Formats: sequence, structure tokens, C-alpha cells
Amino acid sequence: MARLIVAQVCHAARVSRRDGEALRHVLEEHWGDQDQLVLDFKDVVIASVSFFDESFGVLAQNHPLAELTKRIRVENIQPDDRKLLNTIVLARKRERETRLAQARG
Amino acid sequence: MGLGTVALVSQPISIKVPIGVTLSDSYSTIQVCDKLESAPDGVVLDATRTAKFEPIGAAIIAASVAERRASGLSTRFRLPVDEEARHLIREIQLDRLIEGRSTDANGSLTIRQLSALDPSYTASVAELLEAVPGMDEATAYPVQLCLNELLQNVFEWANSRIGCIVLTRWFQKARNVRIAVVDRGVGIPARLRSLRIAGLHRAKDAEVIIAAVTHPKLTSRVGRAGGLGLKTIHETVTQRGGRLTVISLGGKVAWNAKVQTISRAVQFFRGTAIEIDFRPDRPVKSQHEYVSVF
Repeated sequence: MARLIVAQVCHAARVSRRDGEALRHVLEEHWGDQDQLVLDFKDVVIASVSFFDESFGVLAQNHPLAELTKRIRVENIQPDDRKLLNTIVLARKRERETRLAQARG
Repeated sequence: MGLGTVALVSQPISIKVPIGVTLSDSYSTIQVCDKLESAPDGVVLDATRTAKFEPIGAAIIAASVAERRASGLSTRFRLPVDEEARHLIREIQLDRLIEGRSTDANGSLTIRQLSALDPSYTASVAELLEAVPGMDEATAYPVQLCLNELLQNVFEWANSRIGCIVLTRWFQKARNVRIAVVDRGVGIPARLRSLRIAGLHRAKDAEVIIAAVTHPKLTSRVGRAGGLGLKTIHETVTQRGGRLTVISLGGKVAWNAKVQTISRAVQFFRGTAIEIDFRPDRPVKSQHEYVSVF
């Protein structure tokens, strides 16, 4: 099981949209892995909508939530960050569902 | 000098700062800043009669001085006579910033000019708050969140040559945090109009600001679904009984928990000035049903 330590992968670049996009690319590199990827937020506070939205939010727009949670597990995340992450992912999931429903007519 | 000649000593031009450099009087400050920006090198910004400085006013002035500096123009500053106002100016180091002297680059509560998104700044503000009795990581979190989002907006799309001016203040008695972020970029209404979002091209500046802050699907991200940053700030602040004010181009709009107020714009402000004022440790009742995914 691959484990990515956010503090090591992102260093201080964990606030902006660009930072979030960079993390998303790393997550996408592991998308085809057999095992679930563990993303470890130990010792970091993100506190950024932009960062979570561009990483996890975009993934939630492009993939079903079940697939997201099957491929990625989040560990040691600060409680407020967890709440923020979940809120963003759910908002983008709803948008995805609306978009798909509209496409189906 | 011969007999009969007169020495002509030119007096430096002086621009008077209003008595109140406050949020409610923001247009008086903006008016002064307009004069300041077109004034020649060495102009004196005279604050001797000023009795009150609030974060957004101080940040608007600092942004104008930064604009001048970017154009190669220096500015001199006269401190207020009022002791309280003078003390505040020295504490936030506005006088040093205006005159181009070095300021405490690590001071979390001093006025700062940021040229890039600096996560260490927001982290240092959060750490400072955590050290306040009764505060902890959880209560400092909404402040860090709002600050990150405000700065992210500036550096992602404001296109401001001075970056931004930021000032964070902690009010011990009310246990409130007040944050002002000012940039001199394109402004929220112009940015959103440039994306040709339906219905906005004919809307007034204040209406575009309202849409940017409250419309769930509006965004400055080209070809993407709605941005969440300003909405999150609005929600974070108003849920805690605080106030959010946005001044940009010809619009000034404020929100608190119950009311949205549109002020009559008497002056155009190039750029965006945002002030948030809230008590971070105030309990919040979530309006949304929370589901844990991760």
C-alpha cells in the first residue's frame, strides 16, 4: 500500500489552487494502483478551500465518490480540515450528479 | 545671495488624511488616496488631525503608497497628534511602511505588503491566536481559512502590481479578529464580467460583488464549476455573527448574519478592499447536513 506524506510531497506549497493541482496530479499518478493510496496529513494544517477544491474537488467532479474513497484513504487529517474536505467533495459530487442528469436529458 | 533677491523655498505638497480612516468613512480615505497617487515625489501625507485608524483604512492608504513606490515616487508621513492613533500607527508600523523604511517582516500584527501567497504568514497569525487564553487550534482555524482564501484570490486573479496589503488585528475586549486585505488589481466586477457570465455584463458593480460572494456557481475559474472561496469566507464570518465588507470598483457591499447592505458608491476604487470582522471562538450551528466521506 503506497503512503504519501503530505508534508513531504507538498512541503510549504499547500494553500493555492496551483498547489492543489500539483497534489491532484500526484494522486492521479497512483490512480491505476492495485492498492488503496494512503494520504497522510500528519503535522499539517491546510485551511484552504482552493487547495482542497483543486485536488479532491476536481477529482469528485470527474469520478464517482465511491471510486474516490476506494482509491484514496485520508489519515491523520486535522478535524477542521476533514470537515472542510468533506464539504467540498460533497458540493462537487452534487454538481457532478446535476451535470450527468442534465446530460441524460 | 545678493541684496534684493528672495530665496524661494518650495514647500512640499501636503495631503491631509481624514479625521476617521474607518470602514464607514472608506470613501473619504479613497478620495485622499486618489489625490495621493497623482501627487509628485516627496508629497507629505499629513495625518496630524486623524483620530481613528481602522484596518481597512490603514490598508487602503498603504496600498496607495505602494502604488506610488512602484511608480518611483516617495511619500513622507506626519504622525497623528492623537495619542491613541499615533500609538496604533507605530504598532502596525504604517509610518515605516509609508516612508519605505524596513518593517518587522515577521510581525504577524504589523501591516504587510505581500508579493506572493505566503502560507507562513497565515500560519503565524493562527499561532498567535492559539496563544490567546481560551483560544486553540480549532478557534484559530476559521481565521487561517479566511486569510488563506483572501490571499489566494489576490494572487490567483487580481493582477495587482503591488501584490496586496494585509493587516490583521486582534481586539482583546471583544475577542474579535479583524482582517483587511487590499489589492490594486482589476477588481472583482471587471474580472467576472470579462468571463462573459450570463446576466452579469449589464449588472452594476455591487450586484456583481453580491453574485461573487453569494452565488453558489459563479467563479473566476475559466471553464470550471463554481468557486467556493468567497462563499466560504461569507459563511465562516456571518455564521459567527461577524461582518464581511467588500469594496471593489464602483461597489461597496457588507454582510452580517442577517442583513446585506449596499452602500452608495461615491468614489471609484481600482482594485478590491475586503475587511472581515468576527469572533472566531463563537459557536457555530452548521446549516448543512454534514456527511463524512473521508
